[in-house]
Amino acid sequence: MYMNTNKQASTTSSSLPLKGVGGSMSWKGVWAHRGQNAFIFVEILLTATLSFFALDAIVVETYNTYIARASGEFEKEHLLVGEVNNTIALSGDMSPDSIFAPIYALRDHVQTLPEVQSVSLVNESYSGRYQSSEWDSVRTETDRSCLIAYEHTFVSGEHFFETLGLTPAPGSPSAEELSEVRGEDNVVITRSLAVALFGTEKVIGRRLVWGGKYHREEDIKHLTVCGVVEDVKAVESQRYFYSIFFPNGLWDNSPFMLIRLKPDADAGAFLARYDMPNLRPQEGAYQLTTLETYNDYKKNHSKLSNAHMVLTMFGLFLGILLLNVMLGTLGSFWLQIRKRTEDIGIMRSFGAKRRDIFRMIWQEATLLTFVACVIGQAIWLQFAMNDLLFMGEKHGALEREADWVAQFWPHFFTVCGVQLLLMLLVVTLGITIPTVIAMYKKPVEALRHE
Amino acid sequence: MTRLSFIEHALALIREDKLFSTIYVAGTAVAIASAMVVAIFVNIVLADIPPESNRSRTLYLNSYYRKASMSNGEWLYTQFSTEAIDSCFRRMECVEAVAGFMSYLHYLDYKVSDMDGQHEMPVSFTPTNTDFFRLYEFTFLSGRPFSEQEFQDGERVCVITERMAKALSLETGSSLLLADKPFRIVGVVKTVSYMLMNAAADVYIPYKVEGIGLHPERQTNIPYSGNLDVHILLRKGFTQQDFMRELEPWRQRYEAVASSQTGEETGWRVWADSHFFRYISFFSSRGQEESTTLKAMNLMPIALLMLLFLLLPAVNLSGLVSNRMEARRAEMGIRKTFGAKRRWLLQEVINENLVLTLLGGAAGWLLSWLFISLMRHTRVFQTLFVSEDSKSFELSLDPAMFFTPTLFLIAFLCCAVLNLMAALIPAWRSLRKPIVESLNQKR
Repeated sequence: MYMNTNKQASTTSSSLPLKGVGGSMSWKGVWAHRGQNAFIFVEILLTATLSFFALDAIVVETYNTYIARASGEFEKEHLLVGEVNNTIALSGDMSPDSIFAPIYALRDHVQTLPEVQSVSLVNESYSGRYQSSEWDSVRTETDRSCLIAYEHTFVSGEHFFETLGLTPAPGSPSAEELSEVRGEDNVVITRSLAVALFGTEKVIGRRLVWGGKYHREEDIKHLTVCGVVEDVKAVESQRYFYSIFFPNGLWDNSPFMLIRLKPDADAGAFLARYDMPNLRPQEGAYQLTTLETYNDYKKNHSKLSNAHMVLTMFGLFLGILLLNVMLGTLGSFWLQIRKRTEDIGIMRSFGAKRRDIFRMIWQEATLLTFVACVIGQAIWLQFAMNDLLFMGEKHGALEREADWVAQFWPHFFTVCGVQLLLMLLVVTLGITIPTVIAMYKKPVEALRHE
Repeated sequence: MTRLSFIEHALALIREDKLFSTIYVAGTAVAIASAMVVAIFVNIVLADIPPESNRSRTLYLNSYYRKASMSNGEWLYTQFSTEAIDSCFRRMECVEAVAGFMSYLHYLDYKVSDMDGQHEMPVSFTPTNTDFFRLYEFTFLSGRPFSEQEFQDGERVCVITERMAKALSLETGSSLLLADKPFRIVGVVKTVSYMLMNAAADVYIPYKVEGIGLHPERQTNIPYSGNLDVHILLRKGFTQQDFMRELEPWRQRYEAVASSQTGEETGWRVWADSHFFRYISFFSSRGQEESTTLKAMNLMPIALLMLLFLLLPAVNLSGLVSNRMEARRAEMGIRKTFGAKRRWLLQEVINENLVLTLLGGAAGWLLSWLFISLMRHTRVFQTLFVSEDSKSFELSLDPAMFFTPTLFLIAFLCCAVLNLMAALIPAWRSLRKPIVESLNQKR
């Protein structure tokens, strides 16, 4: 029986006792088939390098959008959003009082419905169609370093906080009292913002400086904190929960109406029962032209965020690269294993178990993937160090970034870890079919190849 | 051995090693599909596809003005007035047609219904002029575009798409209600996919129609400033540079007249982007001359992306070819012993491989078509082509988007490049081995 050098090497390594197959065995296996492994090694290496930026963006956006959650997110199942519109041409007295009177009448009518807990008119829907993306710098009066916070407005006296379901932080006035806050200089802020700026959530009466970094000196506003509410996400893909709520008057004659139903009410039944979209107190100019649950409203009217675009486009790019790696591993290992059938036959006849065969091939593939991935990541590190790590929307924090995304090494190593796991998963999928076929070959049948 | 015998040989090899062939074709298909998706997107955006059949001769205009008293010397963006179209652009020698239209109306909630008001649907509509139908070559299923007379008189006439005609059971000669006003249908055109963003709409009406809230003119004392977008169809043989050169004296004259009329210095700038640079502008800035070199530079990132999509699978396929060449070493050794030259054998291996690559390429092309067909229903895809405020749109696919000689050539080139990248190195490495060593494997 003649065997060439490569075959001898692989057979020798394979016929060693398999209990506790270690790194050196895998090295030998990989080295013995270096001719075939070189190609898949290069492919994994190139994929690791070229896909890093896409994976980085996906990891950060996934964290921002799905993992970073605000602790005080309001309950959405019983919250409805409606659009109030005028369906009849207005005539006669056009003073603000006469224009808004029927809108208030509509609000009062909705408030009297048995399922309704509270109603609030707002000029802009919260996180819906006009998704809050107004932001500016904010700081304390004593510290020049800024944060970035999102700006929201609410109509004073319109039960905004209790309707939306924003809970006041401990030590803060009640939601009813916060909804009554008035005045240009008074604001309500989120707990995270209070802690980030003052180091505590008990900040009632403390002063803030709004604007300044991007505005002229005369546009700066000095504000007083009148209340603190639990955190809420202003923008879906934002990992900081820094929001400021400014009191305002009702100025929009096509406002939105937020309706909070009682906990035992069924939103679907409510929508069906009142024959939307024609809910109105009597024949009048204003009516709710649309009414949807908050979740439906957000789904139907929110603009597609940049985060979704990034996730989809980079996800497709990454998917294609990984599919290539999987096909490469599948093809390469299938052909390799076909050549090694006799080795496997010998191993099986000397008592090696099926799982030993799988472990041996998987370890070789893992080693190959690990080394290729690490080299690929080391190559990308050169780019990453030149400010090429993906930070997502940086509006949340400006000069006080402290989480893992904002810190270089934790960020880099997190993405490296995810990439390594992903590659291992893909390579494992790639080797599974050929390895399982090899595992289940009978020793006699496998040895027939000799 | 005949010239095409490699095909027979390749088919025999496919039959002999089905596993290798399947994996190779699948790998090639993924590679070609990835590259072709990019190519098809670029084709949809750039190629002459009916009714946007004149993209290569179309210019898209933007204008800026400044008046010392109004803007602190800053240039302000503005669209065009009917006066700009009639008194300036239409008089230019290099211009064949000037389409003026109002594009911002998709933000508004317009609905169309039949005359009974029984059936209603949201629409995107384009108020425009008659030249719009010269610039964009619609296929009229019945009727005609509205006439110059109808346009000038502001008659309530319209052209609708087949989709709308079917949805509301309308036909040429019948009427519909748009913004509660009756419009007479003068023509029905084949529905335009919203991937052709400039020509697509459900209803086309004259922008001179009054009473439905259209305001083509802007209330300013800048005569050429209005609310109209302007697309220019150049005469054959003229370029963007010719247009800009011819426009310059008109522009200067306008500035002089406007300055003397208003008593203060008035500036007017016009940017004309060709279709290519409007959509592909990685390396160009406004005002830069649109040269072929600049075009090539702008296509470079796209070509690199396609190459990247081919490079990684090529490494993968190289591995497969290397494995197969290893198995065929003895065969190659024998053939070399009988006098076959290395060059012949190399050519043969590459040709045989090309058959597999072409099979994968064809599968890849179909895959790319399938991918785009499925993707067009997603929100992300729609965002690329349709304004999020559009109430109505149809992202239908046209064969001209997928099956064109250029795309065929690109696909073939991709296959050839992939084939060379995948097969050349392993085949060369294998054939370089000494005959004795190759034959030794046979023992």
